Amino acid sequence: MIKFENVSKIYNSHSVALKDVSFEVSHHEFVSVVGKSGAGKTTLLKLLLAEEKPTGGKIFFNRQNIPTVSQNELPILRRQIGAIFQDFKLLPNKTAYENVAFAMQVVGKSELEIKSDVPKVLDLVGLKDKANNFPRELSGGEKQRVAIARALVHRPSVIVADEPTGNLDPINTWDIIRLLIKINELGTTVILATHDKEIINALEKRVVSLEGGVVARDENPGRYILS
Amino acid sequence: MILTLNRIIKSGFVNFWRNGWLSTATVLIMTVTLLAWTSIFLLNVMLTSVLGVLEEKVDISVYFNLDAKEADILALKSKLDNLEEVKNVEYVSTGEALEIFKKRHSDDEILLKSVQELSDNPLEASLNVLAKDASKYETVVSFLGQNQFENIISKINYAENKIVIERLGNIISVLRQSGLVAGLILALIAFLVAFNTVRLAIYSSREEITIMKLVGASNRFVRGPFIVEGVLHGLVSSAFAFMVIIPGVAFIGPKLFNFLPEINLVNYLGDNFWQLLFFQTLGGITLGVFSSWFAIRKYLKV
Repeated sequence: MIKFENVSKIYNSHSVALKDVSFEVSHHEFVSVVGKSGAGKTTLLKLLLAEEKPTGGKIFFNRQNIPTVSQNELPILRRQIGAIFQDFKLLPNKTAYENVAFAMQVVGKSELEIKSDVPKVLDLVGLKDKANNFPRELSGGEKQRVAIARALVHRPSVIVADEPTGNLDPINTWDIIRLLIKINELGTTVILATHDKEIINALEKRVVSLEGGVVARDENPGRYILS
Repeated sequence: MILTLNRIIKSGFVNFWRNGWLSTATVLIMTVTLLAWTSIFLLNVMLTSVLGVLEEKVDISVYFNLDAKEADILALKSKLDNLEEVKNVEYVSTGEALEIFKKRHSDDEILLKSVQELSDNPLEASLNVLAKDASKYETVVSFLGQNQFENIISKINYAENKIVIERLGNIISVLRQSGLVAGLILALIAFLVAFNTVRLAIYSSREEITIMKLVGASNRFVRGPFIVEGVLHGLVSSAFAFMVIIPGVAFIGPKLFNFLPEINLVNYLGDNFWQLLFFQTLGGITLGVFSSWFAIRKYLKV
């Protein structure tokens, strides 16, 4: 489903983010990408969302080479990927409900579908009562749950989460991870980038370890082992 | 398509409302810009009419010998009328000249009596020539200098007024040009202030734009609400600007009228109300839409 083929990202000669990275993710898989800060996790996910272009190599998403996708087709590609970020990236001037509804509007869903689906998804992430709150009125954990609801609501085939628990306390962290597991069990592919050792070790799922921009290990089930 | 358009318009209105402070600041700056634009326009209208009035005060008079035949004078008048440089020619017969003289000196009895004692009318007939602009008098005078008119013309009051006429002509043309240039420069400055305010407002939304793009929104869907906001900024600013201009003109107009009776700003505003409102609003909307469109471009490249 997703395939990285000899992908490199070089910002300049002193800053090589990724070097010759190759691995594949299949349907319904739950893959964790681990590594220290600066190991290249975020770059990898940015390349997948076409936020940045690789210096070399190919990135396939359902047989489509992402770096060659045109500006016009980019939105269509992104609608198939649900993205969750460490800093939540919610629209500050929209309520929780509107933030989630926005992802459906973008896809062109009708108001009727939006009215039926958004409350269900907000219920799923446990935020039914906060639908009309603005992001500034929500806690970190609640914000991240809105972000997850937004990433799920248009039923993408894959969810990409970049350090989704980086700004959260342990209790909220586990809520978010449990949600991701649930989403994966419902059939969505999940790619989780994190440096949280406890989470990785508890998940007992596939782990791709990045070290200095290179894939150091790719094990299933894997553990958090960094030299 | 209609669904998307609907969402874009609605989102534009909601953003305008929720961005309260930012919208207020943008609208205020744009109001000032539109005020500047409209004031510059009104000032130019005033300057043009003042200069026009001034220009009409400059003319030359051609005096004819007492024995010149009226038919010859009228023939010359029609020749002058046909000249391209001439705007208007007015004939003052000897009889009319006397009437004017009497009226002008109606309180000077000695003068009037002495005129009455004369058996002949001593005043010469004349043609008052108004050229299209002050620089054209030279041509008119050289036309009158032809031999064929030599025996009927007694004098032309050009030579003595030449320097004044030329100087006034220069002042008028300099004022006209500098008025236009100063107006354009001020209008440009006002535009840049408003344009940069919108750019700052959109700069503060750059994160949002990135988020929308990452969620998969098309450029049109991201840009649309900002354009709608631009239209709203233009509309509201134009309304505010007019709310300042109407009382402003009502206050300044009559004072100016006392000073320069040729300019009736209140009437001008009354006669051209809808055109002014239309063009000012069009200016506001263009300003808002153009600035938003231009400012958002670079943030869409995500």
